[in-house]
Parts: sequence; structure tokens; C-alpha cells
Amino acid sequence: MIRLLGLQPTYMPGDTLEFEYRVTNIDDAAIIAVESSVCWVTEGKGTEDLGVHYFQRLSGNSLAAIDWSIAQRVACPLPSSPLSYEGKLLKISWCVRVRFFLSDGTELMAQQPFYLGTITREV
Amino acid sequence: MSLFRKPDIHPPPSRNSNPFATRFFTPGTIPFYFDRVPPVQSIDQPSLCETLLEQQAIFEALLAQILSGEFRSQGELWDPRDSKLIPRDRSNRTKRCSCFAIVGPHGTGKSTLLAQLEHAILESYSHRSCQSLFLNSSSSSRQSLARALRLLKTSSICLIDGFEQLPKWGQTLCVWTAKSLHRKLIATSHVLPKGFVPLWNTQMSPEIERYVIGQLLNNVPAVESEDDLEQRSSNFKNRELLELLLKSEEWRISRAKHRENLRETLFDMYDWWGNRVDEILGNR
Repeated sequence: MIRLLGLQPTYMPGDTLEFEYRVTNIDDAAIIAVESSVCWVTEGKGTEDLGVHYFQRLSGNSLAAIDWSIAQRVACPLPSSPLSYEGKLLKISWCVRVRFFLSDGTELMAQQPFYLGTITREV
Repeated sequence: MSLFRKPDIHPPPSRNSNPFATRFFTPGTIPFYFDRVPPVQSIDQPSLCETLLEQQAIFEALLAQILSGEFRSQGELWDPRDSKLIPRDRSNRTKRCSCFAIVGPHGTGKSTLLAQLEHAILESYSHRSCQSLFLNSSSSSRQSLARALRLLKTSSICLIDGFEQLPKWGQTLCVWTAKSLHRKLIATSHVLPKGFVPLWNTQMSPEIERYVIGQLLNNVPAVESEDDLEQRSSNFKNRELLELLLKSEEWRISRAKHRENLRETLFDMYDWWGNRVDEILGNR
């Protein structure tokens, strides 16, 4: 099980997003890669868009040095745009995501949405 | 084996999410629904395909057919060009096949089934190299053909979505390449390409429409209080919304306009939901 810790519901542009993730009930030896990312996606009618603002993949030697009994920290500055938006035709959502890839082919994922900026709604 | 393709790239749906947003029905998001049993393989109860297990059985039979490369010529075969079932080769022989096609009109689930096959192949048979390619009209036919041939040279199982984008001579070249390199080629097309055997013919039916809408309405978050939630199952709430939508004038007009193409109707229903969401959820 993956738990995301310390995330705020709202951040302002330029803020540093900091969070920790902790994994339990997984054999350390079974972990072959870990990806953490901060991304935005659009949601609406027709073609949708996706942007990856921050991405880190740990595998091989960098993975072997990690003590999984303690929470792992991630920090990244947030950009000035696109701001979270909730309209009728389009929504823009930000999200933090952590994925664990295990040796048996299993993939575990935890994700948590957050707002960038003061949420703007269609009026 | 999972019927789903991959984890959703989106954050979880929010209370304000429109259940008809593209993210909820993009290929690979909703499992393909088999509304009939294919004539190409045997299933113990051929008249039933309603439960998840039966859906899984049909799907796995199609997958096994692709991977074994055996195509049993018995029973009847759907001919999309004439829109009718025709008797197969009555000799009941098993043929070796390299190229399988998912055939059907726009918006009937061809890409959905192909995405599901890709996921299953990657998940269960990852030792075989499997790659997919989406062809659309934005690339020239020559570029599309070059990409398709490159795929056939590098992968043992190739999935091509939009095979009809290739010129006829290019399609023939792909079939010839697949056979000579002993590749498996699975493609979607509006008509059965020459050299392919039909894997599945997608067509729209009221049963499939209800299934797809029901799946999409599962994304509507609960708005009731906790007390209400305890008393009302999620299925009941969804059925209520489902009936409301299927009785709406917008649904009737859109289905008449787009006929087989359910995808276009789902786009229309995005607007229907957006315009009536307060009224719909306020009544619940």
C-alpha cells in the first residue's frame, strides 16, 4: 500500500510542492522501479491534453540505496500556469502520482489531486 | 487477466466531473462488451454472454485464436460488406492465419477492443514483443505505411488502429510482410481488408448502449447524505439516471442522427449533462 503524506489541497503558482510517500506491505526486493510525478490533465469533450511538470524515476542502483522503512520526500516548485479550472467545456486538474513497479509485473499507484491557484469556475 | 487496459492517467473523478468527458470512454477505459458469442469458437453456453465470466471467456477465446494463429473454418462468418452472415468453408478445416481484423463502423468500439487485446497481450504474454500504432488522416498514407512496416519488422505482434488509412497496395504489402516475417497483425478497419480474417465485427445495439451509459454513470459521485447512501445501492441510483437519459429528447435525436456511432452521441450527452446537471442531481 502506498500512502501520500503532507499534501495541501491548494497551492499557489511559484509555491514549492512538498510531499512524502510511504509504502507498506511490500517486499523491498520486489520493487524494481518507482516513479513519482506531478502532472496536469484536461478533462472535457473531445481531445484531451496532459502535461508532466515533474517526473522522477528510481531504478537499479538508485533504488538499492533507499530505506523503504522511512518516508521518501519529493519537492518541486510549481509553475505559474496552467491554473486549475472548472468550466463546462473544459476542466484542468493537477495531480501528484506515485507508481511502484514490482518484479511480478504488478503496478501499484497512489495519486492525489490538488488545486493550483484559486480555483476558477465558469460563471 | 484483467479486462481493463491500464490505470487511468487522470485524477479521480470529482463531484464536478462530467461523466461523458472523453477520459471516461477513451479506448481502454471501458471493457468491450460482447453482445453475442462469436461463431469462431465454442463456449458451453453459447446463448449467454451477460456475466463478467462469460465476457472474459469470449475475450480469451479471441485472444487464444490470435496467439495460436489458428482460424477454424466452421459455422458462419460476418461479412461487413454485405452486412450479413455467410456460411464458412464447410470443410471444417483449421487454417493458419497471420492477420486478424476488427471490423465495424465509426464509434462502435473497434479501438476499445483493440486496446483491450493489447493490454491482455502485454500483461499475460509480455515475452512476445507487442506494439501498437494508431493511424489517422493527419499523416500522409506514405508516412503511415512506413510506420506500419517498421512496426511489422520490429514486433512479433502488431496492432494497427485505422488500417483503412493505408492505400490498398500498402495494405497488401503489410499482409505480405506479416506473413513472410511470421508476425501476427491485428487491425481495425471499416471493411474487411484483403488477406485478413475477421476477428470480430463491431456493431451497435441497444444492449451495448445501455452497458456503455451504465458504465459512464458509475463515475457520477454520490451526492446523497450518508443515511441515504445506506438505503440506496449505487446500482439503483445509476439505473435511475440511465432511464432518465435514455428517455430524454436529446438522446433520441442524437441516436437518430448518429445511428451506429455511439461515440458522437456520447459527445452530445456531454452537453446534455452540462446543461442539466443541476436539475439532474438536484432531484436525487
